[in-house]
Amino acid sequence: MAEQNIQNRERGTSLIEMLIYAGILIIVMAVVVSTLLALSRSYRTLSAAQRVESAAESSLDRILREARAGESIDTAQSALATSPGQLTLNTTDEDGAPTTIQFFLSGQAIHVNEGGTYIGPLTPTSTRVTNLVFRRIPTAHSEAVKIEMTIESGEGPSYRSKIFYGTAVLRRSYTE
Amino acid sequence: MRFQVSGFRFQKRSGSKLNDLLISDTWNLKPVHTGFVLIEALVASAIVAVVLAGVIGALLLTLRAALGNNAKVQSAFLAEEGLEAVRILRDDSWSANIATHSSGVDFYLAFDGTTWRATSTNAFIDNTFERAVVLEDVYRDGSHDITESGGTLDNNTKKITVSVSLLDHGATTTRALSTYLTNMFNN
Repeated sequence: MAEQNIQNRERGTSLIEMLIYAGILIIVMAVVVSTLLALSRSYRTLSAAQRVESAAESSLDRILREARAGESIDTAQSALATSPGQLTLNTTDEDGAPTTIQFFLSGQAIHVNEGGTYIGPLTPTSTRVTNLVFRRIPTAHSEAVKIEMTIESGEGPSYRSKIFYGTAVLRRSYTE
Repeated sequence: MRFQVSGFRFQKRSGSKLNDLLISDTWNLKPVHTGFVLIEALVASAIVAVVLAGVIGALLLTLRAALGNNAKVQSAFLAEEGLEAVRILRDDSWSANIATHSSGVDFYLAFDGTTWRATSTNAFIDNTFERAVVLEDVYRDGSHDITESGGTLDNNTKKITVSVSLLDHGATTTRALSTYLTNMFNN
């Protein structure tokens, strides 16, 4: 009779159990929340890295292609071996008519001019080009340009900065 | 006096003095099955922990691969630059810059401020990338086509291979580009 009484009163959860469950819940929640925080942090780092990469690929690739198609470097209109650098190439347009193409740094972005007309930026505003150097390399039969650029993106822990190098021989500069 | 652990409820039939508590015979061990119990909560949280560990592991792997891509883009540009640098060496002088290298022996490239030079000193680029160049002899068959086996040595053609290596999480990744160059200026 006494035992029956006790059992009736004991239905439900005791205080100590409640505390243990709450403790487990707190630990699990802490792990989940820190995972979510780490996730958003790594997402920011990742997108900064991706922005640096795509800015470098599009701008350096464009400059190298234009340099390969170029005839000569206009040294008077270029700022060589210094940063921020400027490169002016004597080249031809799609119809074969002579024109110039100019790459320069302005507002931490690389911009392009064609035949003296401003075309637009080559790098997005989400990245910063902090170093851009062009060097003219004369050879016995041709001339070439060496490019180095530093592109950075992101702030604080998601900051990414990478240096990219490229060299291209101006294929139309070849002489016998 | 009662408490419950792992699906068992311990309850004291009689007595509340310390002496009575220590005598185990007076405890009644009785299984209960009411709702969630501690062991189940522990199993559930262990499952959650294992799943989370798996998810975090997969994310870390993705992150590492994605961040490593930056270095791959850098090394692709460096390899391309290497080929152009050897072309510059050829344009300056085949006999002084190209013919002097033995077939199959690695050399390196250094920029002296004005032009590219071949060097035997291996200097890492930005302390990360190692760029090596190797020139190989080229043989031609009876119809002057390049052949892999036999044929006669063509002293005015070389196969150029530029390989860029980088240390990535303890393993070295190498990417190589190659092309043929000829002594077109006879210099």
